[in-house]
Amino acid sequence: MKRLFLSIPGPMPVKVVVAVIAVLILLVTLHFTYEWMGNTFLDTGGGVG
Amino acid sequence: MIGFGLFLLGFVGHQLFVTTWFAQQHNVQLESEATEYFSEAGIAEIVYVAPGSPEVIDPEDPATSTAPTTDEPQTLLVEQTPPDGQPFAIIRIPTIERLQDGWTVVEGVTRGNLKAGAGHMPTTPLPGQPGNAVISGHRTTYGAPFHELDQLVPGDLIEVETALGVHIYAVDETLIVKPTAIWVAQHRDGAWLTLTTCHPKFSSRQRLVVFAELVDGPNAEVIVG
Repeated sequence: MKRLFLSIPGPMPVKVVVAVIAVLILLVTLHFTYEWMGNTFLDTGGGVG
Repeated sequence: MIGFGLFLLGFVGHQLFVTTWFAQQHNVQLESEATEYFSEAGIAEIVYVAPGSPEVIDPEDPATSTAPTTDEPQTLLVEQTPPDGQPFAIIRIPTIERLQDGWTVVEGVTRGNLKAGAGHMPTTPLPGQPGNAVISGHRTTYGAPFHELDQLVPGDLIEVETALGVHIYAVDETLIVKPTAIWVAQHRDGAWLTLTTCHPKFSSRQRLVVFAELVDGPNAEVIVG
């Protein structure tokens, strides 16, 4: 993880900003992926038809 | 392997806690919107004649004529159809702990509508009206308002508050059906409430359906007698 962070090009403030943006994108992607999986396999909401 | 495990763990946590947290926050806001809607919704009175009541006399075969089943037309209270996504009702089930304080019902049963927890099928009448009002809700995610729906037994009461007042239904029957069993939403004589949710818990393989009949409320006497 540390190695991945250090491999981000640019000075330290840029590394931090890029890392934060990357984590946010990952979390948003995970959120929508989980939502889709949940709505498809776990609980569709109970509607009929 | 560890990454996949973390992914699955995250999925379970997201579905059980994150969606529920969002739904609960959302529901607090929706409940106040529904209460506001109660005072704004248009209400009208219409003349209502119970189905089958007009006397039909076949002049060629008087034996097949039907007799009237009700006396006189009565006044039925109706409210305007809410727009899609509008919180317009609050459902309470005294015998189910998480529904004792009520859960908001919005108009529509799309995935977006049901993130709020419970939605009214737009092709069916509104609660408190003649026919079969269908409300669907999540069983395990998004606040899981219908998590314990399987605990209902015949005779249990379900209250639905709308702009007209509180409509009280008594549970008649509980069924397990396929998700494609659209017949559960078909018209029924009298006034009925049909609740549908996923079954079994943590699966969308089947549907748990609860049929309840109107027993009290602003229109009960007019429809049920």
